[in-house]
Amino acid sequence: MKKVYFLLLIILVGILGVSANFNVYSSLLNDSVGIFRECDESITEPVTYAICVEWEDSERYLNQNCFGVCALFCDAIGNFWGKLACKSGCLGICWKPERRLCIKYDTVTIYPCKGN
Amino acid sequence: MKSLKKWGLFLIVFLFTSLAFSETYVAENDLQRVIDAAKDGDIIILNNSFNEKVEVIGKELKFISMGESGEISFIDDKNTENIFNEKPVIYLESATVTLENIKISASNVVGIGILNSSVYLKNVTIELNNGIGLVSVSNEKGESYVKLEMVKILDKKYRKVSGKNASLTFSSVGILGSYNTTIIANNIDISGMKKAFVLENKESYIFNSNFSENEISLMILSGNQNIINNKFKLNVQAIVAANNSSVSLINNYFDENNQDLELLSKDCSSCPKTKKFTGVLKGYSNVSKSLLIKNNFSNHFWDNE
Repeated sequence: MKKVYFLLLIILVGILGVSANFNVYSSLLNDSVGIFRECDESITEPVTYAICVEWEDSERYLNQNCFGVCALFCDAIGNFWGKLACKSGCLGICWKPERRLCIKYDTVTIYPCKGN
Repeated sequence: MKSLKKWGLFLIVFLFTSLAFSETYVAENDLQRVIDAAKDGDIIILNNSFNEKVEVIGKELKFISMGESGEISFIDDKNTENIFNEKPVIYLESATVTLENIKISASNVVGIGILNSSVYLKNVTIELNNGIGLVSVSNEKGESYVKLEMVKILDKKYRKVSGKNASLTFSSVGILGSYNTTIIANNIDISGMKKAFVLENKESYIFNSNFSENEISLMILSGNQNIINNKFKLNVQAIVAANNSSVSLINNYFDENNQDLELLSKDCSSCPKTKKFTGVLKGYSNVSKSLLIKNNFSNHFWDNE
């Protein structure tokens, strides 16, 4: 009788083992793994862009070389129109805006969504 | 009653005779001589390209080109130290002038200089190389009026580029309005300028226009400036406003500019006459494609697209 129970136990353990193995095996085959990458439905081939990863900001300023040449001699201009135009125009002409310049680039690849 | 009738009749006769005597000149060469010979109300047809500077003082004239030929240009080869020291290609003083279907080229000079005058540009192209398209000033008692319709201002070296990371060199200024000048600009196109407009004038209405790839499109330093239904694309800075100016922005579209709108937040110590913005900003229904902080603006200033 003990022998029969022992045999049954071995058969049960064997079945459970195979079934567990089969589960692992089947999940490896069928489970989809999520890869988070950017895709674009409008493209069919991967596209690589340059993107800026480091910026250098510069403040607005008045270009003093430009302004010096322009404004300091306004009174010396002979014609009345030129004198008036010079007095009001130099500031606008020589003003430099605030700007951002990219100093370091990296690349990013966008894939087509289909088959992603 | 009788004397009134007499005056009315006199006026009609006067008007009729002055209209009847307005003449049309066809200018082939020496444009200044034609201008000097013309009188109020005359029309000058440009039938050639003119490489000379011209001036209209105290007259009411219309310049028109029938074909592609009408061009007034001046190329100053020497590198001018101060552009205002040179006479403009077209200089108007106490004059009323219409320019239609004409191309103006200015290299190292101002294209059109205006003092106490009224000018109407229709279908005009101004091509610049280190120049300024139009400079309008007035004296204390005078007034200037600038009306622009279908006007294109571009730099000779300007080449349209696509993408944000283009490197551009700016060397020209489009329009400089100052003192007692009123500007009305409808359907104009300005590209590749250091500044498309420098507005230091009494009042402007700029609408239905395109500003692209300029260093600054509108630099507002004073006055009552109304900016309506324009498109600003790929500019380093679309609009900067300073001092006590009054700015209205309605239904403008900002796309891919480094900065859409800056109200100067502190005085510029090294810049004379440039203080932080203390004026009034009004506006609604503007659209910005950039991710700017929109909290500081009134409700409906930006449209949520």
